[in-house]
Order: sequence, then structure tokens, then C-alpha cells
Amino acid sequence: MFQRRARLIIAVLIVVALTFAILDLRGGKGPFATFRSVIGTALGGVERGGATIFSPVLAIGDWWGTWGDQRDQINALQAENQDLNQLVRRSAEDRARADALDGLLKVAGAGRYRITPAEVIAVGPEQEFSWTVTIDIGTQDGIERDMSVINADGLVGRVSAVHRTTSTVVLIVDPSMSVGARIAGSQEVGILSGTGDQNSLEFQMLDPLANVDVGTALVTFGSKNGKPYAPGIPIGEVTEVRGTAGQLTRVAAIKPFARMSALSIVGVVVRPPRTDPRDSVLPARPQIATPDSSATPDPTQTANPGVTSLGSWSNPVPQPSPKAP
Amino acid sequence: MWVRQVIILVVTFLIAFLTQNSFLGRLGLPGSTPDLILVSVISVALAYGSAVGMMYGFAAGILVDLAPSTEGVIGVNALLFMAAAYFVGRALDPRDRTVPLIIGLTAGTVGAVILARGVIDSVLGQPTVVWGNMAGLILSGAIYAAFLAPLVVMPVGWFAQKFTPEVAV
Repeated sequence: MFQRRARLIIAVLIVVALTFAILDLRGGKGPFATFRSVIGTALGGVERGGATIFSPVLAIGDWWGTWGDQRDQINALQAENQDLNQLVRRSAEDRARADALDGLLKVAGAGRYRITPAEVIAVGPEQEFSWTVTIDIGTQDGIERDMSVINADGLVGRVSAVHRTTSTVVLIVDPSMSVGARIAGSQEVGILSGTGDQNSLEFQMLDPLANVDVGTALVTFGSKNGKPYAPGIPIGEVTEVRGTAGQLTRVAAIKPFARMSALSIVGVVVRPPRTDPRDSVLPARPQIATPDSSATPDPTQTANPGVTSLGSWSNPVPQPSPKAP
Repeated sequence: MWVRQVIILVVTFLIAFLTQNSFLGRLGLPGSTPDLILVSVISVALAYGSAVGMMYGFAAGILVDLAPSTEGVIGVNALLFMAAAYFVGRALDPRDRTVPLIIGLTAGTVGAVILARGVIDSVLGQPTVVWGNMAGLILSGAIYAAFLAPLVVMPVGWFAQKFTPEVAV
């Protein structure tokens, strides 16, 4: 077993340990306060050195521990950023749409058309050589074949086919289209034909001797019951007159007001005005197009409610017709 | 001979103390902190026998009790480490020491010391003992000790044999 000396030392150590414990248990500062602080200072320094040594190792552990968290955080922030970007882009688009609707409303108000707003949701393929678009309203919105389609700038086309929730619109630039048109201000009428060029329509005047100035505007002549074209819708302006007075092939080139390649919000004229608005819708005549200050609703408008179906609206403040037919 | 033995013991304690307080304690492992110092006491007891192990255990225990971040009663760890060194030094005959036996002995001793410390602290009226956690503490402490045992017992034994063959068992 133990040697004598070892036994003695161990016995002493046990007694010392017990004495320490008892003295420490007596509480207060005791005789260990100084002893503890000295040892604590020394070992605290050792611990601090150890912390310096082991910190990089522990940092690796921390790094692994937070790796997943940070990745999640990055993902969350990226998603949020994407959402916010989308919001910003959408708000710009919303503003543009609101402007387009506003303009459409003004036109409808000026001409006293009852319109149903729609959005262009598809454009026909160009290789078909026809200019058509699809809008997002159909029979359930009260749309019928041969209704006029306008936007804030002017005539866009007419409805050529109606489905339940969508309709096809042939644009006025389509080569198969011809529109009865009238030169604003004068009574000269003619046939406007599409050429397939979205910046140039052909206007053939019935009177070959008529005088046409570059820059004058054209409005629709109007058809029976407003189909396919309601009267008074602005179409475009004369950019060029070909041929001289008296020639049989005297035509004017017309640049349409509506930009056919940038259509978004359009309106389908579900009911033409009772009276031909003539030139009042044209943007060049604002003094006539501005609404009357006495904004009382026209009884003819309120007398005929329910012409438009669900989802459509009529111009809330109709303007008086400046001219009698 | 004496000098070399003391150097080995001091270095062993410093490495154990540093690693435990600065590294193992901050790893945030579940359950108890791996008690590397107690494992070093067991290693010394296995390398030099019960008597030297108890002296080392006394010194280590007193220092642990006095060191910062320990708030126990001074002397309790010293007594516990001495008891552990006595038991370990007596329990295994040096001729039939195998690695699994050493691991099992270390794990069991550490678990017993954790339990004994809880009992003693409770008897002495220390309010920090939470008996609900005791089973988890003993189990985790024993498992950590089982992992530490071969890493500490073998090197300490090897150094003891190499530099102080006269006193190593």
C-alpha cells in the first residue's frame, strides 16, 4: 500500500481540504478572499491567454453555427428585395394605366360615348399580315361585334369577333379596314383605308377637288347605329397630300393619333352618342372639349341606364354637345 | 526525477485547465461541461498511482475551486478529486489495463464525481444544485469523459513512462 510518507502527506492534504471547506462555509470574506483573488488573477491571466489561443477555433464553430442562419437571412432579404422591386415597377405601370384610363375617360366624356374599358392582353402575330389585338372583355361584358374601340388618343379599331371573356379587335391600320372619315371643320368625307403601315393610312376623298391642308385632323363619319364606327372619334391628322386637285387618285396620308404598337388601355364604345359630337373630341379643340361648369347630368344619359353590363361604366359627367346635327 | 515529475504534472494541469475553461466550456455542448481536469487527475492516478494522483488531485481541486468562474465551496473539488484518484489508482491493476477498461473506468468515475458533488453541495446548503438535471448531467459528463479518456490517459501515461520511468506504474 502507500508508503509511510505518502500516507502522511495525503492525510494532511485531506485535513487541509476539509479545513478549507469548513472555513469557506463559515461565510463572509474569510481568510480566502486575498488568496482567492491572487490565484484568481493568476489563473484568470492564464484563461485569457487560452481564450486568445482558442478564439479562432471557437470562431470556426460560431461560423458553422451561424452559417445556416445567415444563408436564411440572405434568402429572406433577397426575396424581400425582389418584392419591393416588383412593387416599384408595378407602381410605375399602375400610374401609366391610371393615366391611360384618365385620358380614355376624358375622350369618352367629350364625345359622350358610353364605353367599357378593357386591356389589351394579346397581339396577333405579325406574320399573318393582319393587325389584330385581343382585349379582356367579351359577351359577358356586353360587347358585340362591330363596336368601335378607342383609346385616349383616338380610334383604335373595331371589334371583329367576340367570345365570352375576350374579344378580337381589328386595328384601323389593318389593310382590310376601311373607315368612313370626315375632315374636321369642313364637311369633306372620304374612305380611310389601312395600309399595314402603322404610321400611315390612306384617305381617299370623295370630292377630288376638295382642298386638304396638311395638319388637319380626321374624325369618324359614323355608321348606322354607331356600328362599326361611332361618329366623331378622332382618327389622325393629314401628313401628306398626294396628287393634285382634280386627279382621280387623290389621296392623303394620315398618321393615326393612337399608337398601334403601344396599346394597353382601350375602351369599347358600347353605346354611341345620341348626337354626333362632330369635332368636339379632337385634342386640337380643347375650348370645346372642356366640360361645362354646370355639371348636371344629362337626363338622356340617366334615362337609359343598364346599357352597359357588369364591369363597365359610363362617363359620370356628360358634356353638352356643342353642335346640333 | 522529482523535478521532471513535477514539470509533467504542472504542464498536464495547465493544458487541462486551459483547454477546459477556454475551449470546452465555451463550445456550448449540451449537458455538462467536459471535465478535462478530472480526466487529467484520473490519468495521473493511472500513470503514477494513487498517492501521486491524490496529491495532484488536491492541488488541481484547490486551484479549480479558487479559479475564476467557479463559485463552489473551497476544498470540495480537492476532496472529490482525491477520492477519484484513490479509487482509480486502486481499482485497476497496471498489468490488465486495456483501452475499453480505462474508458469505462473514467466515464464511471466522472459520473460518480458529478453525483457526489451534487450530494455534497446539497448537504452544504448550496442552492445551485438542480436535481432535475442531474441524470442528464451525469450521462453527458460520462459520455464526454469516455471520449476524452483515450486522448488524455494515453499521452500522460506515455510521458510518465518516457521521462519518469522510476516512479511510473
